[in-house]
Amino acid sequence: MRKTLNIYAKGHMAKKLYGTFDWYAQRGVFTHPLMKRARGINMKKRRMTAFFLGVSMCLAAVPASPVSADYRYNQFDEPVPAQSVYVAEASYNGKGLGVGSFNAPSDLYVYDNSLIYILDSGNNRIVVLDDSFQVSRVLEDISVQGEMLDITGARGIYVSPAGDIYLSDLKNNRVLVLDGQGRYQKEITRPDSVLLTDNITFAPRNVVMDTVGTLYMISENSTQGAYMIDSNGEFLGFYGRNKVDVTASVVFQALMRELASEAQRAKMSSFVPVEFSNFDIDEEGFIYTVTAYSDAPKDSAMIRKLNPLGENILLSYRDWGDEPDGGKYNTSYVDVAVDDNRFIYALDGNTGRIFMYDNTGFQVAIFGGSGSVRGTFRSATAVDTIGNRVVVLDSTKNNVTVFQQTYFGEQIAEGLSLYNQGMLEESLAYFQEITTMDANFFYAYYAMAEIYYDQGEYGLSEEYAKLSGVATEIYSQSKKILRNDWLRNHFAGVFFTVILAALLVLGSARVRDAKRKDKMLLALKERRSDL
Amino acid sequence: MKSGFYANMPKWKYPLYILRHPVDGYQEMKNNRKFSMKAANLILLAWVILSILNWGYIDFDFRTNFYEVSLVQVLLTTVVIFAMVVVANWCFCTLMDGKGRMHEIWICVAYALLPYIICGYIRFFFSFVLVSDEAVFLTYLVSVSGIWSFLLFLLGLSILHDYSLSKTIASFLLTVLGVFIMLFFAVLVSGLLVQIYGFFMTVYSEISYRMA
Repeated sequence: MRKTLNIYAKGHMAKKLYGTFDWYAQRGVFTHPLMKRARGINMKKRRMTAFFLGVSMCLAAVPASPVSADYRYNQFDEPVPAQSVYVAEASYNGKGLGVGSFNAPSDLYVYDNSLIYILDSGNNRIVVLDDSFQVSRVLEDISVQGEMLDITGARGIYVSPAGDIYLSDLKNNRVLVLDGQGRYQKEITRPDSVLLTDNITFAPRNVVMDTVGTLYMISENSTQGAYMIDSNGEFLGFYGRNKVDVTASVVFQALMRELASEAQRAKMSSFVPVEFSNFDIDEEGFIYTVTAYSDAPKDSAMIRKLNPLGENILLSYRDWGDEPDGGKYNTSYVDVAVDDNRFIYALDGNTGRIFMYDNTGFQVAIFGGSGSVRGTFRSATAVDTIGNRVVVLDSTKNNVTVFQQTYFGEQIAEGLSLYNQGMLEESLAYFQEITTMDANFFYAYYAMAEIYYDQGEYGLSEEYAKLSGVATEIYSQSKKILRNDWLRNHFAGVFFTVILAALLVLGSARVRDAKRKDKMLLALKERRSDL
Repeated sequence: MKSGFYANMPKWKYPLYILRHPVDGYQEMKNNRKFSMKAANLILLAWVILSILNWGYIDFDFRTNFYEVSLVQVLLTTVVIFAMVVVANWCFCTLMDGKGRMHEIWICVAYALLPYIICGYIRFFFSFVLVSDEAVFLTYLVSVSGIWSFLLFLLGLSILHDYSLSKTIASFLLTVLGVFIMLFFAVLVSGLLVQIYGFFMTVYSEISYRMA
C-alpha cells in the first residue's frame, strides 16, 4: 500500500510555526520517503552520477558525430544544417608522407579502391599511395629513349582497369600512356580523320576509358563534346556534347538570327554549349559529366549521367549546386566521382564544397568548404572515392584530405541504395534510423510514406507523407483509401444521416412557410377587424 | 414589393436575404435603411480567419503556401485591399453623383463578399474529405462563388448609388484604377520614408562618430 503523508496527523498546529520550514520539519515532511528527492547533498550526488551514467550510456549507444557546418537543401530549397555524412579524418601532404612536399598537384585517381595515384605535376612525378595512406611508389624521372619525360603540363591522370596510367598532357597536346610500373609505353596525339577539321583543337585535359577500351578525352576549349578514340587509335567521333541552356536571351538571339541577313549573321555571336569540365565512369559503363558554369542550373543538367548515345538520363529536382546568392549562381564544378553504391560526388571549385547526390539525382549532403582548417580547401582540384572514404586534392595547400563516412552516412548509403533498387522492406529500418538522427532529412519521410503505402499501412503512410512536406500525391492516395474504407464500414450511418438531413431541410422550409402564412393571416384579420 | 414582414426583418438578417433575393434585398436595405456595420465587420473577420485557415490548417494536399505568413501579411491581402476598394469607390462615385455614403458602401461590398466566404469555408471543410484528384469540384465551387460575389458587388453598388448599367461599369473600372493609384502611392511613399529614415540614421551615426 502506498505510503501517504498527512501533515496534520501529528498534534495540533503550533500557530506561530504554521507554514514555516520548522513546522513542516516537525511533521516529518523532509524525511518522508515520498520526499526523498529533497534531501540534501547526498541526493545531489546521487542525481549527478545517475545523470552522467545515463549520458554516457546514450553516447555509447550512438556513435558521436562532431558538430560541423555541413548543410543540405530541404524540400523548400532552403539550406538547413544537416547531420554529417562524411567527416574530415586526416590530411596528408608530401612532407608528412616522406616524399617531399607536393607542388601544385593537378589530379588524383583511385584505382580499384586500393591505390591512390596523385599527379604531382609541379614536381614532374606521380606519387602512389595505398589504402592506408602510406607511399607505395613514386614514379619520377620517366625516360623515353634517353630523354626525360616532362609531365609538368599534365592536367589529368587516369588508370585503366588493366593498370595502365594515362596522363593528359595539356601543354604538349598529347596523352601519355605508361604501364603499371611507370614505364613509358606510347603517346596518343591528334588522330588523323576527315572529321577533324583544322579549327578543332586537340588539347586533352582528362581521359576515361570504358569497358571495351574506347578512350574518351575532354579537350580544352572544345564545344563538340569528348573525343572518342578506340583502342587502335582510330577516331570514332564526339560524345556527350552539352546542350545549350534555353534561356530568354537564347530564344531572342535565335529569333534575331532568323530575321537577319547573311552578312549580319556572320557578325552575330552564336550560342555554343559550354564544354563539360570533368567526368567519371561507373562500373556499368555510364559516364557522369560535370560542367563548370550554367545560367540555369536546374534545366541545364550541370551534372549528367550519359547513356551510350550521349544523352542525359539523370533527372534534376532542383538546382545543381548552391542556390543563387543575390541572383548569381556560385557553383562551378571541377570534378566528379562515383562510388560503388553509385552516389555522385561533385566538387565545386569555387567554394571547395562537395555535393553528394544519389543516383536518382536527389541531394544527400554537402560537406567541405573553403578555408584553412582540415576539411576545407583553398583550391580543390580533384575528388575521388576509396572504399567508404572520399579523398580530395588541394593544389594550393598541396595536400590530400580524407573524409571518412560516418554512421549516419552508412545508414544513408545502405538505405538509399536498397530503396533505389526497389527493396523497400529492407530499407525501412535504415530510414527510421536516419530520421532519428536527422529529423530534417525529408527524403526519408517521403521514402517511408511510399514504403508504408506499398505495405498497405495507409495511416502511417499518410502521416509520413505529411511530415515530408512534399508528398501530396501519396497523401492523397492514402487519404482516399482510408476514406473509402471508412465509408464502407459506416455506410449505414452516413446514409441515414443524409436522409435525415434532407428531410429536416425540406420539413423546416414547409414549417417556416406555414408559420409565415399564419402570421400574415393574423395580420390581415387584425386589419379587417380594425376597419 | 414584399410586404411589411420584410420591413420588420432585423438588420443582421439582410445579408442572408440578399443571398436569396439579391435585387430585392439591396433595394429594401436601402429603402428601410437597415445597414448593419456589425454584420459587415463580422464578414470581414470571417474572411481574415478563412485566409489563415487556408494557409496553414487546410488539409495537406490543398496547400499552396509553405512559407511563414504573418498576421500583417494576411490583413494586408484582405482587409486593407477591401478598405482600398471602398475608399476608391467612394471617391469616384461621389464624383459621378452617387448617392452612397462611405459606411453604406463598406457594408454593401462586405455583404457582396458573403458567397465567396461561405464557399471558402465549404472548401476548407471539404478539403479533409476530398482528395487532390477531386479538387476540381472545389475549385469550380469557389470560382462560381467568386463570380457570384463580383456580380453582387456590381449590383449592390448600382442600387446604392442609383446608377444605370453604363455608369456602374464605368464606376467599377474607375474603382480598379483608384486601387492601383493607391497602391502606387503606397509604394512610393514607403520608399521615400525608407530614404528619409536612412538619411536621419546616417546623420545621427556621423555625428555620433565625430563626438566620440
